[in-house]
Amino acid sequence: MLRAIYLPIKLTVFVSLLVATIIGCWGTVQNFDQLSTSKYEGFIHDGNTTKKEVIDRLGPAHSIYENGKILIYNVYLKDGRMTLEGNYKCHALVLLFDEDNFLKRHRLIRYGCKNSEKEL
Amino acid sequence: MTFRKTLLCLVIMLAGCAPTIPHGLGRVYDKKVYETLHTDEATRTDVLMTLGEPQYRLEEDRFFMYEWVVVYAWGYIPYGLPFPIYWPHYLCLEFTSDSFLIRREHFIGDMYGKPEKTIQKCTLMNQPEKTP
Repeated sequence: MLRAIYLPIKLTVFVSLLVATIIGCWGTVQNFDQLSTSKYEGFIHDGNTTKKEVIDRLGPAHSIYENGKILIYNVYLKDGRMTLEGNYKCHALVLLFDEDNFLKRHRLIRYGCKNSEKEL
Repeated sequence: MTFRKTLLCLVIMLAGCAPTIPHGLGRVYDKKVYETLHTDEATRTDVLMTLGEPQYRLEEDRFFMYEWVVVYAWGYIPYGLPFPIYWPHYLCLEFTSDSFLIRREHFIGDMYGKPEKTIQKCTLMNQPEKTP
């Protein structure tokens, strides 16, 4: 009888630790290292790329903030490339434009897209 | 206590429950990161560039709310899969009309709770806009 109770508890602890290890700590929202992600970003260059170029290449942004000064795209990293379609680990490409619609600053934020939670 | 919570307690009592070091499930907002966003200094742009897109945009972006889940224990139904016992966490951020951060608050919701109550707390319903 005791053994029958003890075994599920032991199994619970073991499985919990295993699941926690696998799922638990691998989704912290953080900035990607700019150097390591530059290879994904292709045509996107601060100071040079215009908003029109971005929209022509990537289509309409998923979200717009600050009256269009900030565009956010949900992106995925697949086979060394940044893509707009995927179903796993969604990231946010945040693009900040100046008054002349030139890209002022951009960041790729790991798990930073709105629906990332559902897809993890 | 709601039926759902009573049922959960019963299942835990009848099955197994292992407390665990609280840990995030899925996407998590790191305290060290969001604490770098200082009130009266950080702007809405800084927030977006640091944390990405918020799950909730409220009152025409006067408030942002980020949500994540922290697991405090794992339950186990014999011969079934373990299930997480979690509480949702929220980061509520309020901005001035000139886009500066004026309030940063961390809320913990009810177990398996929905965000509506916390949205109310975050937006302090019907309060006039604060000035910096």
